Amino acid sequence: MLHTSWPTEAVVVLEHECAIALSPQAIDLGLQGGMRRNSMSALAPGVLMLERQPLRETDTRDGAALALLQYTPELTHADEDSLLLSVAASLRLFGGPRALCRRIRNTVAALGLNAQLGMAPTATGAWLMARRGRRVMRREPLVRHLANMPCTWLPAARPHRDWFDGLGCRTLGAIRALPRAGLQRRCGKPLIKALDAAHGEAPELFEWVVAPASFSRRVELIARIDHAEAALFVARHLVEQLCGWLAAQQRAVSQITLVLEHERGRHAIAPTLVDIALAEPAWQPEHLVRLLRERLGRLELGAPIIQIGLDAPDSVAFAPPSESLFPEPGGTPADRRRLVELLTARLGSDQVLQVAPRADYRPEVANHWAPIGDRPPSLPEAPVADRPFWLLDIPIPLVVRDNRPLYRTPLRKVAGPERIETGWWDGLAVRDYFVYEDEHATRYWLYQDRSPGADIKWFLHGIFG
Amino acid sequence: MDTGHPTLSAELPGGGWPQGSLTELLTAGPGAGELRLLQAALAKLPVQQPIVLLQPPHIPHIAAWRAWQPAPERLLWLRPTQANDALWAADQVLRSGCCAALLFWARNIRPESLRRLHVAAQGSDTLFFMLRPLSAASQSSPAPLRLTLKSAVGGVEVGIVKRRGPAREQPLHIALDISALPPLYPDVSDAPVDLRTPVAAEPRRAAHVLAH
Repeated sequence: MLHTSWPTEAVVVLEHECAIALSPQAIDLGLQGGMRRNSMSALAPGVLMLERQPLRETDTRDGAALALLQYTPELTHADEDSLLLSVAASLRLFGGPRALCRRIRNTVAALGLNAQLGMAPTATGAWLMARRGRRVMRREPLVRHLANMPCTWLPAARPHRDWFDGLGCRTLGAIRALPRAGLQRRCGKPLIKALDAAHGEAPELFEWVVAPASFSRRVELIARIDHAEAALFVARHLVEQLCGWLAAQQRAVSQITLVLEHERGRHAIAPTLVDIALAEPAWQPEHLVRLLRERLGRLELGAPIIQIGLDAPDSVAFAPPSESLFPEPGGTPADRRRLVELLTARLGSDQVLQVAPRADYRPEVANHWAPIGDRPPSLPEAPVADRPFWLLDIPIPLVVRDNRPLYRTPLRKVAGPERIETGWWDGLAVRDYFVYEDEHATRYWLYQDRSPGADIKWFLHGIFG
Repeated sequence: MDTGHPTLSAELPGGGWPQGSLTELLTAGPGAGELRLLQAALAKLPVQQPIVLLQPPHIPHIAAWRAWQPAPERLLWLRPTQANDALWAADQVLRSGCCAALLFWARNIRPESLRRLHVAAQGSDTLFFMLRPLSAASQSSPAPLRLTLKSAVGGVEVGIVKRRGPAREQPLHIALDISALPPLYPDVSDAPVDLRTPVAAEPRRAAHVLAH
């Protein structure tokens, strides 16, 4: 059974100008269910009154159903904002009833809802047990629990409430003790059916919820959001639903798009799109939320957001992980890819680099680093030579004194020269490279520029680490 | 983790570089021989895991790694634009535990950030070095091992600022082979420039042996 998590301020939900739901703070102010709008605003002027929106309620229920599809494919909507999940086949996978209940509770809480959970061998029984918030695993204790439940809890018994009161039947057990034939004549078949179903004596048939073929959901916000980071709260709900949908479809996403719709001022503002491309298809909510958090943390909004959507245009069939006999000590390749994704999400793809050397004799051209991609770097064949570890971005021109180049201290030649003459097609480079050493024995990589028509000059190009 | 230099290993507690702990290397600037000192250890790390260079002072030269043992394909160069991004990246790399080594060049770093990184390092087996300026030697640090590096003729001079165990005043001299490789071209600077052209052999007349 689902309930909303109330915000911290006093809120009242209205239907036909009458209060139908109140937050605890509103009750503290002295408001009651059924009060009219005018009398409530007289009693508590500051209280926030919202009109009931059946469409959004349905939407929320559908969202919850989608998120819970990750626990079982057999799920259906039931009366009074509740969902029935057939979890007999999922108990072992999720580590037993208690662990499963805890996970379901967390998933529902991530959607901003509160769940009251009940578990029983029959669906109607579980629905009734949810009111108690208890779990029973076998039929005998269920029958005991049902026997002392108020008979008004069963929806089919409510129309005959007065008659039962007159008979002195207050519990389901008392109704069940009545003669069956007379009960059926008086109350009709539905009550008998419901009672039998709750006790597991009649079959129950349900139409299970079927996940839509593609995922695209929108959430309209109650209040405007000015900071991108605040949008994460709503985005987390959407990611939970996405992961439920992925589990139901046995798929994993390789790309997700968060759509932030802006308030429409004088001019329409195009929605901000936050694209997240994944190196490896993912289905874990934690990983997706972590990536979104890093991206939203860097995002600056031009206008307040009023609606948030999540699209998953690209999904692939989920490959079950292959477990190796011994765990790898340094993490799996998938762990490494996830780390790289996370780093790229925060630092930007231009700041996470891997080697991509080019076949060229000019060191600054050959020493090329590229944003990390899917492909492992390939190294062209190149001669192995003694090269400095550091290469300066811009070579530093050096002064010459006594025919020796000077960098902080006079330098002494160690090795060289090595002529590099290439690049006639885009800026001819004619250089003689030398290794020089200063007084502290730090070694440098120098070159003499010998371009035709220019003076011979010394440059510092690298430092030996 | 063996350092590859027996004299240095003998002085370090545990007989090598500590794994899962913060190690500080203090240098006056790039070029003190810090990477040649680490190269032997980096070469022994598991092959498939990346080596992360975070915020290096200059562009790492691929050709230098090519000549060395850790293959350049394993390098990951991170250059965050902000200081707190760099700390975050270091923290993530350490926590993920799937990188073989992290080399972090930091100029200004607060002691509490160092402590956090040290705690993050303890959760993994990553070989974690912070390369800091020499002036940081006077500041306090939570790192259990702090070394100063100065380039010296034929190697590097290692001073132990802090270690678990007795203090050591004299710096150690670690010999590093300056160039393990033969020069690509022979040194010809001393060779005479005007080589005499070899005397061409006189074309010998064909002997009249082919007598009729």
